[in-house]
Amino acid sequence: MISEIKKEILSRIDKELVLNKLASGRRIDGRGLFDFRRINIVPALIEKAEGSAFVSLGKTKVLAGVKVSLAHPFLDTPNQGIFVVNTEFTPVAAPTYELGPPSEFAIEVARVVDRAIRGSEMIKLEDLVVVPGELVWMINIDIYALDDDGNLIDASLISAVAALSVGFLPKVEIIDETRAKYEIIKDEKRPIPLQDMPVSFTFAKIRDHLILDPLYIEENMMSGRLTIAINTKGELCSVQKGEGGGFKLEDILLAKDVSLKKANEIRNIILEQLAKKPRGEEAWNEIRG
Amino acid sequence: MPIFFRNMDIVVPGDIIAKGKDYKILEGAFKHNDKVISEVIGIVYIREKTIKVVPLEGRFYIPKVGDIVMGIVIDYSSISWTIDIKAPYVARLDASDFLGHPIDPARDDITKYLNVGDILIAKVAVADRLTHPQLVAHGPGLGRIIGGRIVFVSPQKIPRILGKNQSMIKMIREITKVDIRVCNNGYIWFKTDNERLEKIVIEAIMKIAREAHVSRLTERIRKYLLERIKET
Amino acid sequence: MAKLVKNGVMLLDEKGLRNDGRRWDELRPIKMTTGVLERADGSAIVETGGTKVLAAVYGPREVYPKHLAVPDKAIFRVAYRMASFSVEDRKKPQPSRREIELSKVIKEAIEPAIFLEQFPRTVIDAYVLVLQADGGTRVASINAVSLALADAGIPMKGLVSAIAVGRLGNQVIVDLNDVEDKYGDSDMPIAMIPITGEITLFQMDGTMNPEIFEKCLEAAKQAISEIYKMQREVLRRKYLSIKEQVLKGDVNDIGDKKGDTKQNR
Repeated sequence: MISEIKKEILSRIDKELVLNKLASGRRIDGRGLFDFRRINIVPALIEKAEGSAFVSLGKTKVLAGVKVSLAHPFLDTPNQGIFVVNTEFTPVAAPTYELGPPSEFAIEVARVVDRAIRGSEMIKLEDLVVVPGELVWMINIDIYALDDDGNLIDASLISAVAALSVGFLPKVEIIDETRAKYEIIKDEKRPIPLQDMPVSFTFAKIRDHLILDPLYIEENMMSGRLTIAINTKGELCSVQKGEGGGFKLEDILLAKDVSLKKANEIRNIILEQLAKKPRGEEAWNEIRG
Repeated sequence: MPIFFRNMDIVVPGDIIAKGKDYKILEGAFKHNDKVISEVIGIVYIREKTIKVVPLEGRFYIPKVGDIVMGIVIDYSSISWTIDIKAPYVARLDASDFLGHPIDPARDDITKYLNVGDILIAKVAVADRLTHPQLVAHGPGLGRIIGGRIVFVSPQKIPRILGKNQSMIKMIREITKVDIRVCNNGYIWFKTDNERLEKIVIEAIMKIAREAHVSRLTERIRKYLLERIKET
Repeated sequence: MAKLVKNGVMLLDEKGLRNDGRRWDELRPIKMTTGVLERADGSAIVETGGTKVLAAVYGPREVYPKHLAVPDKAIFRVAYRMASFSVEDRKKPQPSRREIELSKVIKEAIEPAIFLEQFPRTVIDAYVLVLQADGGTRVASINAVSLALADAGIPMKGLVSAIAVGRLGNQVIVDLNDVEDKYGDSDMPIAMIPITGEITLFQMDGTMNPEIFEKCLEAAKQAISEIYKMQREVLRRKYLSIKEQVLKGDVNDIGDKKGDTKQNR
């Protein structure tokens, strides 16, 4: 049974508060209309994963893990590796989530994140080949929502690109090519071959206002959602409109402008965080707070 | 009869507060083989032979008859509304208990009076283990709320927001001159046009919730409020 | 001391030290943290060496579907799940039979400690996500859910504390890591409500003679009382540190703690 994420019924006072603030160009948490919340990344904290990143976007928290394995390439792409994005929005993250297979929303997020990574060609799929036409690396990116205070889409993409950025591939030694015998040497590893880093911007439409990085309470009031991902070349590499309502053309153009303007800023924040932080067991000090 | 904690100590589930047969437990603790044991994380109050533990955690509210609660209308029928009072059970408010007179469902559309998303302050009239809690919202101080701000604290902290004989809340009202209503289910509503005062009231409430377990709270809050008001 | 090697893995060296350098009764470093999530009513992270689990509790709340509600008490549900990246070979997200069995035994280990009768016709839900697995995930989960329940303000007869003991050859060991779980001769997870002395989880795989069995139980009791102490310390710590700050005169710090207050609801 596919479950839907129920919207909470907000009180009139909550709604009025949000709208009053928006009318004066502010959000209820003091942010401007197009400000991101504070982004915090704890990289490489899961030892059994080949890449991982815990990300908090304000109070929203997600944890992405990368696992790699050897697989047969797809028939139509014999010289390319494979990557799969999966999201798990479990009841840990919110009281309205249910156990069971991913909801429509969870699947939508996984596919949007996938398209941003694929569209930007972030992963050099040709460099994942071990034996052309026979053996390639398959990269599984699993994103777990831990705490939903809004905008799981952007938080998920940040965690996925962060996990990939600190990810690695072990060395493969072919023992017998004809009989597909190979050995994985974990101690010799190379970074996952990357050539881009998409960043996404999710906007919510509330009445006539367009805002970036919605809070949970703002998501409950939005009539439409628009996500735009930008690659390092300044191109759009994925767009998704979600929820029921509609956007005016001006909204879309404005969102595009904001996204293009902020892409490098957000990307730099991610890179800065990845460079500074301790890894492994030490990384957990930050989680414990 | 040995006692292992002092009045106003922090206790956690499983802490043995005292040993002895004739202790009376008011709340938050249970007896096991002559030992009085805490059920929750809380502050223990020991007075002669009575022991009670006031919980410090918990966002849920268990309705009690006579409580004043704030609720959000989440559904309705032709003769009643369903109200979310942040309890594990939704509450019912019959139209007649809101209007003070019976209505004719065939002719009256009750959403005229209260609709989904509206907020009201009501009193708990019935709260037993068999049925949903029943509310009444007709009378002084009860009814629909318009405007203002709402702050939510853990319902366990409400007694501290009120204070002994309402001393704390009366002091806050006096110093800030703001109309504040405190509800037993954790909701606190107030209305002021002054943005600065709004901030001060919210911060004072948060401070009480955070420091509820540290003694001389009323004094600290009074000092805090007077300082902040002066800055305005 | 006799060495013990299996499948090329040194489980015990000549000095009797285990593969990670521990003595037979030494616990791995344990870290516990509560109140880590906003949306959950109660939460906790328990780390036992390389095993790291996150528990989230909701409730008491209304039961859906309604027909599951019980008239005289709350029902308690537990779902134990492992993140796909928590183990060496990626685990598919669909719940395995092992996860379903563990959900059940964890629930049955903790249920006796909760005052369910105080909340008729409601449900208390606990979810555990294993972020990293290095042996002893079910006992770490029990320790975490206990803390999360207390963090949610749910009244309990006492905390539930758990540990896994076992044997390597004739040597009793306490707090098995992944390697010992895989290559050891027996693994026995045990949970107890220390305040009442009731044992609420008891499983064993492998084999044990009666003498070693009794030694294991003794060792488990000892380890459990250490863990119980740690759990109570963690719960107290949050409030003691606030008290300290206040008494030091930190009057202007209003620090909005998770769950204490929310400005808009």
